[in-house]
Amino acid sequence: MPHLFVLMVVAPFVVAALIPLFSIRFKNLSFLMTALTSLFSFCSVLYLVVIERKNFPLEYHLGGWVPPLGIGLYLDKLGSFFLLLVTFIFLAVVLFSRFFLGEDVEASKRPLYYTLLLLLLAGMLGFILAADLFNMFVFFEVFSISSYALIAASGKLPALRASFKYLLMGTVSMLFMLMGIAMLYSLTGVLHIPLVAKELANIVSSQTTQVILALTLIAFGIEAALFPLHTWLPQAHSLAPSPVSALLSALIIKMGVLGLIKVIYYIFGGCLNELSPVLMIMAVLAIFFGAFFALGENDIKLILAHSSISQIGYMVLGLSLATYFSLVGGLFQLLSHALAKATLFLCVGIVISQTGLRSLKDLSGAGKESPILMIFFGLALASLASLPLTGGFAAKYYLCKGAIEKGAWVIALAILVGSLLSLFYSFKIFSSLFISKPVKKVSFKLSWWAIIPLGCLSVVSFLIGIFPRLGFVLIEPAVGALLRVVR
Amino acid sequence: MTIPFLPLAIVFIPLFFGILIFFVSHEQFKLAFALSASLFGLFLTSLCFKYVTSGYILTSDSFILAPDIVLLFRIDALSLFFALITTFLWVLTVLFSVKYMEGNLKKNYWAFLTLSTVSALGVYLGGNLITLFLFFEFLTLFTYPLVIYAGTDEAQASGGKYLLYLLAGEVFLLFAVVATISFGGGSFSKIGMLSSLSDFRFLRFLLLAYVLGFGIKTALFPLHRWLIGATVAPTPVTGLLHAVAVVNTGIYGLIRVVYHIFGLDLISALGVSNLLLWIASLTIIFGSVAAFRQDDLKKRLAYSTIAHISYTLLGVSVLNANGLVGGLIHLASHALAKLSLFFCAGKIYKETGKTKVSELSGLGYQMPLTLVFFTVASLALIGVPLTLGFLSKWYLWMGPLETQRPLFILVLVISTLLCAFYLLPIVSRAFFRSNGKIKIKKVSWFYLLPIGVTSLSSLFFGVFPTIFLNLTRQIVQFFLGG
Repeated sequence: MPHLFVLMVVAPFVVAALIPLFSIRFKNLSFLMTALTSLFSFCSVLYLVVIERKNFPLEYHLGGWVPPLGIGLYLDKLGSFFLLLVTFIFLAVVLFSRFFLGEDVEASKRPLYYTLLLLLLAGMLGFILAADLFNMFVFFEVFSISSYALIAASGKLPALRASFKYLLMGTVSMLFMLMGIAMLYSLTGVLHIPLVAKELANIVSSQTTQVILALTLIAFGIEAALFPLHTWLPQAHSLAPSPVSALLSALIIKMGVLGLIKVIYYIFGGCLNELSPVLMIMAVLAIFFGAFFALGENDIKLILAHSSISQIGYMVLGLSLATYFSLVGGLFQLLSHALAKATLFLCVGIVISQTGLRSLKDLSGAGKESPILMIFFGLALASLASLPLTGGFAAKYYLCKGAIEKGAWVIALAILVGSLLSLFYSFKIFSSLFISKPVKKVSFKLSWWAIIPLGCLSVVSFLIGIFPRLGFVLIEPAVGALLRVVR
Repeated sequence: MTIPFLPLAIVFIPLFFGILIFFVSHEQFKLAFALSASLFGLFLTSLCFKYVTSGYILTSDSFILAPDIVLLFRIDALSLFFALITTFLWVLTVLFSVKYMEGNLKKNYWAFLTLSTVSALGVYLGGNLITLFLFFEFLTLFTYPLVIYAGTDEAQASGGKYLLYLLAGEVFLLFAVVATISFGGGSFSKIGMLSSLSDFRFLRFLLLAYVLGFGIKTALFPLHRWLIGATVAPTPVTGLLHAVAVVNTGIYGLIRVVYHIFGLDLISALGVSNLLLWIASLTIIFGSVAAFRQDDLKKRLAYSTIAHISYTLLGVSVLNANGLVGGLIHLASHALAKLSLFFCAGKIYKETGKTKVSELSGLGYQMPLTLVFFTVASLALIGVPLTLGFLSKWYLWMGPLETQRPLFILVLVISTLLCAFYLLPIVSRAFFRSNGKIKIKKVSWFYLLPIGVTSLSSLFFGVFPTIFLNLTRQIVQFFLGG
């Protein structure tokens, strides 16, 4: 089934266009269509990963036109890792939306919401699969623009402001990227990524290549909310409807990281030269500043948003250290953070929508009556805090090992101290929700639409923590794919 | 010889019971499971005794969770020595808790008590560094709910301090562990994992990280504040921290670091023996003086723990056989005596509400048996002949003597005197200063049995120390080869 590739990207686009049409007559169809489409994407990714994994890397040329003339799609094991992560979490969030959307998004706007969700999915899948720079840019814009709109989905003024701020930063990022791509095109004359990399390998590193590298790193750095380019993130993530926050934090900023990977490894072949220490310092600063911001906050969603800044730092650190173990650690961090943050934002969504409260002080002891919520929260926070036998621990372990093997002891210590800080803010959330004396007792109502997706996320996250080997099955080939393009 | 079953059983059977406690709601069942966990622990640990004293090391199969993250359990003489102390005192702590926690029992007390002790067993039995580290961190996490048990603001604050200190220590420990695994492999199957490294600056840094990591758990001065704060916990929990599980794992780790991870040759070559001795001496003197000045009974005992645990560090860091033997036996004697003292303090608090030393006048007439046991335990801690404490101090004195470091004997003498000064006035106040009331209360067996067993066993083992000497001989043979 060679065309599955294209179908995977096209299907969400088509369904996204159909939803507004159908929803005029059938109000409830939009959820069903979205859920089925995301289920289809998930299943086709599973098919690709399980059945076709021997044929990796897969290439598909649209209309049979071979690059440099035609447009291509490209999937290697790194891509399949991202595809699996994206489609799995997306499916969970869509299912959860059915339970949740209550107050945040009015009934009349729901078809629009689902349309945007599907555009988001289409954009992400396209971005992962795109084999040439321009398509990468276009798909990047598709999911960025739909995420601006999704943040504003509640229609409230603060959300609109946050969305606009993100839009401004995102536009700057887009301009940088476009400029970088234009310069790359003028330098190499091709857009197909492997060909660009081949051309670049023959060109001696010059100021031009450094400028290109800087431009694209800044562009994706903004999307990944790498400190100090993170300023849009806290407001946007905390004011969006909770399922959207989950998607933003678990997937969209990871697309920024994927962008960084594509630039650093697929285009420049792992040669960062002078920019490597810069990236490393930014990552370490991100780890600490994000954690300090999170410790200082009292709003539960803002804590989680700031913690994303800190956690992204680990992934970028793994990329910039560029050893086998640091890459394993970085991707492990990406995986476990995505699962944990998705769970957390969804759970927080339940808490906020059913109590109307956001600050930890008011929520004190609120969760004492619902053990299920406590388990979800506990598992995800433990992973965020990198307690032993969670995904977060394995991630920090390998990152630290990578740093030590490179002789960067200070960075190894920074990683561990950062994880201590993340333990403190996770503990702050857990203790005020589940240990402190209750201000008022709340019993949360959870339907199966909430329990099943949350349960799936938690179980996967738990299993990866207990048996990090399960994560390795995905991550090791991905790192292998990365190391293969290093020159 | 490989008996994969035993090391696994010692950790996982009690662990199974511990997890089971979460799922039963009836109070009696919870207690039954907690008690059977401890009894199984003790029984299975004693089963190993015969094998280990005849020189075998029991190793389990390894569970490879991921590259480097491998669970492996093994019992050598050192593991068994610590595991025996822990499991023996665990049973008594459970018995003591029955009466002490009556009416104040919250949902998860038994579960966390069991899980904490199992974590300590996991630390001792960990056959590689990563297993040791994982259980070391679990120990911190599982004891936390016990420390904040009272739920008051003071308890919450102490709990926060507890987590901050111990987890910060574990950051350094993890760093050292990862570095050791990267450079020397993490398995305990060979002595001197780091001996392939020759960069002495890095090695010293690594040793510092280890000392911080394990040393915070042994409450080395000036990183001891968490242990004092944690006295707000219920008395059996304090006993758990001071004698059964927590500080013991720290000193266990330090012994492994000095003799196993670095190895005798490397440690001598690094020239850090004196530094370690000074750290230990400073902690001993500080703990003793602070205990002397403290009026709160539990806090006085807590400061005394800080001093006595560092006796072991002192014995270990003179780097000879007598020092090591003395350190190990002192750990056992301290654990027995200190648990007994804490039990007495707990019983006094429960029955009279008194927590301060100055309030204890004439108490010997109200609860004579308790105070007699208190006296015996105090004497054992001071090191009076016929107690285990005497034996340990004997070896501890021999250690520095052999290496011509008389200064450290002076430290031991001063602190022994201080120890007598801060413990014996309690006894004399209780027996020789009457407050006029003579009313002997009826005693509960749940109190008297653990108190009696702990304090009398200091006497018993003082007269018949064969068990300990057999094990320490194995340990010395293993590490020092002679």
